[in-house]
Amino acid sequence: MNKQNSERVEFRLNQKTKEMLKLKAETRKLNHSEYIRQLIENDTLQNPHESHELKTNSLLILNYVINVINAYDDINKSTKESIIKELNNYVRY
Amino acid sequence: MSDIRIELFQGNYNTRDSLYYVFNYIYKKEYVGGYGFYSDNFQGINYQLQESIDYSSYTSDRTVWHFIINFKRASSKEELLVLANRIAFLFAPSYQIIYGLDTESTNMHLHFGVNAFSYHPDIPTLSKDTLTRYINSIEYILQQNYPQQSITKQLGKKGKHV
Repeated sequence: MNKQNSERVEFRLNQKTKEMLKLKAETRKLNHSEYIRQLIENDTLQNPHESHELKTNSLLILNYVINVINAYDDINKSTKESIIKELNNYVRY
Repeated sequence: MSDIRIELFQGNYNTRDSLYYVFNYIYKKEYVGGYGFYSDNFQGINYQLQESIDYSSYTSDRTVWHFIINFKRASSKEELLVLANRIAFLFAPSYQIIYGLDTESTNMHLHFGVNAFSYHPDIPTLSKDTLTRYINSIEYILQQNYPQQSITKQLGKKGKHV
């Protein structure tokens, strides 16, 4: 993107999100600005309903696994929470 | 009185807040599950629910359906949660749903909240007729699981409960 056609924007992120931004951008071989620009344009300017629909649909298997884990009393609460946290992180990020 | 009762609340669930309150009420139960959202915090869940309204191609006076299944005879928590998951999975391909097990009252019962707006923008909102067909499927599952127990349905119980 031509720097002359863009404006500097400041925003705040916590450390974890900042690291995710770095990782996501590097994975796609983009700088941070370009990654965020694409993210916004893909999510809000084109077909946001498709994004929501696909995202929700892709959650069903994760939801199923979490529901099954939550159903069993043999696993204690803290272990369940740890497993679910890891699953959420793995699928989301 | 029958052993198992399915009760659908008629209520006046017609605003975005209604959707929020029903899901939030069920989310606070000790044992919770559902489909169509990340479940790690309620604000995030609500955002995902409201998006389904935002993007739907349909309008509806109702934003959420709330029903319970009441068990007169004691069942284990585990058994009821496996059952709840199976029932919720009926709705999952089209509608976001949450369930919660209430163990505080005399009879254990399951709460279900269903977003009337599908997360697929082109699927119609969940009408009472369609919900009745889902409830008939639920009744069939219950008959399979509890062949010795009597089951009744009350579709349109007065009040909101939440």
